[in-house]
Amino acid sequence: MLTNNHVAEKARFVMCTLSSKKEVEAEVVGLDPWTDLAVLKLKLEKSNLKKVPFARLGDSDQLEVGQVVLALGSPLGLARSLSMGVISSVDRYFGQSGDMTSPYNLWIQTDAAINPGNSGGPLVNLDGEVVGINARAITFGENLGFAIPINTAKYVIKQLLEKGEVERAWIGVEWQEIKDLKAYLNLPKLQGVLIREIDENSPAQKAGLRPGFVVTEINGQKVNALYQEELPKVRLLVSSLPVGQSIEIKFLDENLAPQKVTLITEKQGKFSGDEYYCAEWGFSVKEITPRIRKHFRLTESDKVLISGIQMGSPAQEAGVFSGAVLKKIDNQPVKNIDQFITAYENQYRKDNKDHLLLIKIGEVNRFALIKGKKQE
Amino acid sequence: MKWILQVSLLLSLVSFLPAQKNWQKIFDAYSNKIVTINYYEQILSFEEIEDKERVKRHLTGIIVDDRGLILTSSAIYPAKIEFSASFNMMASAKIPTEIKVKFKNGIELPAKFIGKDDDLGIAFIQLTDSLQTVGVQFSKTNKLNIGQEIFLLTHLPESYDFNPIIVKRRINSIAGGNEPRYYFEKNFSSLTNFGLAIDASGRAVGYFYGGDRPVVNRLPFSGISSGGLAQIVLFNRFAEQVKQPPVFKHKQTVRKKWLGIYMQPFTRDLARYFGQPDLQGILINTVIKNSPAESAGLLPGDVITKINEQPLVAEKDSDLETLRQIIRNQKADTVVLEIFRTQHFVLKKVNLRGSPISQFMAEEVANPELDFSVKELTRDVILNRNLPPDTKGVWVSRVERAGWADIAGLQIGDLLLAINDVKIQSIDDIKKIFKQIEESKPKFVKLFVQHSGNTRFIFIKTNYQTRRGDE
Repeated sequence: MLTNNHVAEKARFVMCTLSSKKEVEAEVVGLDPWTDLAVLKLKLEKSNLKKVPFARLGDSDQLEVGQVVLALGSPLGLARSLSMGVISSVDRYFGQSGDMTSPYNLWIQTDAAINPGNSGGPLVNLDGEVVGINARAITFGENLGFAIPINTAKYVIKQLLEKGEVERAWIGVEWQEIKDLKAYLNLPKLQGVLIREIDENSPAQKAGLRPGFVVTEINGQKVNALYQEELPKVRLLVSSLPVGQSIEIKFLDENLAPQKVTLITEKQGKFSGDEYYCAEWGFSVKEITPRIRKHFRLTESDKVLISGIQMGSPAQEAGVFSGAVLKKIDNQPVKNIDQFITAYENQYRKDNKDHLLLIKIGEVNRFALIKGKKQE
Repeated sequence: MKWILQVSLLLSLVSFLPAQKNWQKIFDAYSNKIVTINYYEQILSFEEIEDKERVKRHLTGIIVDDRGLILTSSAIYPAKIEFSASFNMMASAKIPTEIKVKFKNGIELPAKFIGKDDDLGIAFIQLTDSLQTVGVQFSKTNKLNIGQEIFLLTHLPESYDFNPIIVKRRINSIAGGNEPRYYFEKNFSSLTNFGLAIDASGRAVGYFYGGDRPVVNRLPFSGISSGGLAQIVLFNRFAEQVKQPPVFKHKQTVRKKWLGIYMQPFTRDLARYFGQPDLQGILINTVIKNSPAESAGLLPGDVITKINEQPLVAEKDSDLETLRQIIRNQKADTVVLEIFRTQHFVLKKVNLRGSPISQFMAEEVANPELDFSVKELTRDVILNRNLPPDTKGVWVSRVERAGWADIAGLQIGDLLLAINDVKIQSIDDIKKIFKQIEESKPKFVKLFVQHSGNTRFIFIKTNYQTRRGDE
């Protein structure tokens, strides 16, 4: 069973209602936050079911603008609803910020009514084939719904079923289309992708790649992105490179001289970190992954983020606040989330002592004293 | 019972008559020493590379000497001179223009902006014609008491023709230790939250102001305010400024002293945690990079116990103001701090410097062809945009709407890292490259910018050949 990651990611227990209105428990097989997809499996035996009807998957590359499609789902909880519309666009691109991010695919845009609760539901063509997974709607707009193309989903399903996760390679390059660069250089025949950013300590940085270079070939495959709609394709190519292996990149340097480097790909970091709730202190912490580090512009030494705070808790009283980085406890640096959790479980939460936290927001620190329970 | 009523009536009459006389006396003595000031404030525009719109505003002023020096609210120039973590973004860096002072007798005279003190919420202007004026003689009263009667002299809003208004209030609350703040309930309409404060015996004791709320002053109808507390500042706190007014010289304005730390109260709980239940002081939580505090070797976690042998005590946030004021108003360049660190006391000599400038004082360079402006990076921008503390360069301060840069996608706040592959490290770099571009008139200009942490290239399509307007 296919749905959105944002539907299933925090679920502890999943119950599905079939079209027969029968309720069946399900388990999560795998999640892929990068494409916002999740694969679940119904526990048919538990409900004494042998088989259930299932949907056929279509080919989203064959979609055309104007084609009539149907969206199925539970908009605002109104289960088993169907709405109809046309394909408004097959190559909608959103930049890399906000929750519309989807680095590896373009979105299918439809004017079929899509509301909260439609998420994870299918977008089907008139042959009854699933062509997309409805995932987003623009709430202040009208009839602006977005679906993940089923061809993207097919790849993700395969990976999740085989490995339980989608393994992606990372080289630490952010890309930009070359449309304006071509005009600037007055080189109408230029092909390639412009490097706009190199991540710190990435394979690309170590190999000497720099912003401004134009990459023409990755591991033997020619790349070209004249328009930004072509960028997901390039990112997909990089992400599907073998992890931990040497690959070759051909590029034009600042003088447009052809060059090549080899670098060893790394596994892409986690989309978001593990979260842990410190019940006694009254806050939750989250691992700072490279993605979060970049997003909040944190430094390498920032490891643990305070992701939530319980009202009226000792932590709130001490002045701890959500969004701050946890730097030190009793003058000892917080090195990583596992170390913190271990220390918290074995010591802090039960030693009844005062603990002095050093938290940081931006460049400003604050000491927060969490008071231990008085021994009486 | 009748005689009681008669006596009390008689008594009230006896007490009423001198009181009325008192009001009149005070009003007559001071109403010719308060003036209305009108001026034009430039309105900041991010969408134009020049501030084109302006608005006329009115304030109350107090004549303070015989050479035409007038004390008024710092609202006359809302832009901050010194860096601070929070500032009013919507202020223009341009000083007020066409200042005119209107006296009680209706005469209107031009004046110029001298300078201001943001800590005190005051500014000074001076009549441009050399003219003998009669200033308020302030008494050296250094203390007000709770419940003490106080007269407040200011002006009514425009809808009441800026008529002078005299109001009697009582001191309702006194806060702070060494430099007490005297609050009263300011529940009357006035042109601004600023005016003269006079005690019951008719002595001018200082000015009142409605606290530091610059945003309120930017709104229309800002003159009409009611409710809330205002505070009285006694003459001893601003006598020096009257004698020697702060002079505004853009970047070169003499700024107050700066240590470069963030601090928090060292509470009893913290003292117990540190194993020193009787220790009092101020806890340093942050030492700003490249600051006097960093050079002196101060560290987060240090407790400042004394400054120049004066003990420091901070149990709550408002207590931190004491140290802040000592530092900011320090005459000497060096102070000695006593620090408690890892169970020992150490003395640290700190060479204070002037506070860094705010983004308003930073040099701005506009390129009217490419249609954007840049400013040198100041500490407040670095803090606000969460940039690494040692970031060098310039940032995009304005982008003209529908100009070449806007069309290419340049945004306000972008950090400009390079133009045409030339690295930009300073405002001088940008001037040089702007000049080159102006001469070579290229078809495209390539920018390398950083926008909320991400870098990208922007290609500005120019149109030097076809002037705008001819297209």
